Amino acid sequence: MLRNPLLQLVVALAIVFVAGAFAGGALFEALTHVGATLFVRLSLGIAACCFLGFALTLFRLLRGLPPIDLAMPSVLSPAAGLVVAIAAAVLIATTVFR
Amino acid sequence: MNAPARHRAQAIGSHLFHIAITVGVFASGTAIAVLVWRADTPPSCVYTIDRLPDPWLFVIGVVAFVIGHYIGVVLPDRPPKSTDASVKAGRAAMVLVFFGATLVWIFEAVGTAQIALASGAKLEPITYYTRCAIYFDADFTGGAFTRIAIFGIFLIAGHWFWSDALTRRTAKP
Repeated sequence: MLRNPLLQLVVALAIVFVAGAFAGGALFEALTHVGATLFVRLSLGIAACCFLGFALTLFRLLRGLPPIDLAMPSVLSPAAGLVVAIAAAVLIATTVFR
Repeated sequence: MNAPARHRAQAIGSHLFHIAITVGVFASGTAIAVLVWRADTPPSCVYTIDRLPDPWLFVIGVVAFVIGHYIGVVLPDRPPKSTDASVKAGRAAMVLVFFGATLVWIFEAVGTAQIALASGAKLEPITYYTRCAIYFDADFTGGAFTRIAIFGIFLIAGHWFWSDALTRRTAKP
């Protein structure tokens, strides 16, 4: 079950995102005494995903393990690129067009 | 021009493109940062419709995105053979990128909550500071550095995310 590395990564990111949003939100409220809104929780969820990338990459580098081969299907690659481009455009548009 | 000479010219062109675009984006960002740093009074960055939206920024982004793709067609990337050290350096760079991204998103969370500092100033989301830089640049240079930065960022995006390398790899027998 879940032998595909890409699928494993997507599932791990989804779990870490939700955990980061909830646990990070609770920690945020405890430290700042300010309510964690939806956008605060979303940011913390993304931060948790980035931290997973950091920890995994560092762990494998220090242990001398090869990079994870995600074996992304060639059909998915342009689609993933498109999703990233749209996400970047949305981020820039919220700045420029508000 | 024979094939080896053409390949060498493409490799040189590709390297020059990568160096120029990296230097261009960093230089324009640094120039704006220095201007803001040396300012006597920080600009007000409240959103106002007389400054933004600026459709030209959108047009510049789209044009740069398309140019970024076609630069990859004309000057295909010919990366040098990787060594053990270059592979390790690349992976170490990814570690730093992920670490930096983690800090950035934590800052974004704190900024979104607009938490007040001891000095009385409030932290703001990253988009606020970006808008601030655009306003400031518009006042001092007419927006030249903003346009260079947007052109460079979208040039890289078009070059990477609409890469011609995948098409060439798929077409290879």
